[in-house]
Amino acid sequence: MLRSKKSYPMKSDVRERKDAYILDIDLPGFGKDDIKAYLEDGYLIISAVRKKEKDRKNARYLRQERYSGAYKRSFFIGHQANQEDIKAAYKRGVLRLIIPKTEAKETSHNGMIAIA
Amino acid sequence: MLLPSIFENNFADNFFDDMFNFSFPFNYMGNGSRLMNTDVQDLGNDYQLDIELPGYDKKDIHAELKNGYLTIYADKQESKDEKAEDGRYVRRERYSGKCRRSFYVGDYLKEEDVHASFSNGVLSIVLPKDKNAEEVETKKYIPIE
Repeated sequence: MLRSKKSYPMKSDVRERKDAYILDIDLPGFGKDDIKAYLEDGYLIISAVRKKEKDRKNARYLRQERYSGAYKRSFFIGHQANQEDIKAAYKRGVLRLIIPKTEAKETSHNGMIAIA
Repeated sequence: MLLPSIFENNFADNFFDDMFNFSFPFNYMGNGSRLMNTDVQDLGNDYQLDIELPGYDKKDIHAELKNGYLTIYADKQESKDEKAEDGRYVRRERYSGKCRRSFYVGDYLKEEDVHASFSNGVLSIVLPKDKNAEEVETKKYIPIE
């Protein structure tokens, strides 16, 4: 009787590859322009607003199961990521983001101070 | 109320959702997450169904009309290329696989009357309303020569 998952929009898969993380987010029924993705304080934020369909005469909802509000979800990806490196594509109602792994800057650990 | 984390913070929400959903068993599929969310609109002369099927390809989706039921099948076939570079799942919430849902639409409909289109992960189906129902009413007036 108890469900562990509540039904909510923007179901996401995250996969780790050698070079990158791949994020697939379900966003059915949007136009490409309705979806926004940006980085803020190490969080990748995805937001989308469904454009209101032109009010058709006599159109009346008999059943409404689809989520019709504004969508927003954030993922913490760290401060190293650059907005320019993230690639995004929207296809068949799924937004795919490819976030390349960034190597942590190598710092020398031998404790020696370089004398110029 | 202190509850172990498996109940999540919104334990109460889940609980009442379940009670509410009980009368719609077709909303239940697989692991309890709802699939194929559908909006049904009355457009005056037609009905429009908008069914969410994100990530499916047009060729993976089949609609069938039989005994007054419209049944939508979808089966995701992951390409082999994609599987090879699949990577390791860190998080998996999306459902990938078969799903099916039926709607009773009435016996009067024929395949050619039903128009379906698929774009951006939403399958839209337009069904004309039964015209015979209206004809019965117009038949009341018989011209007398």
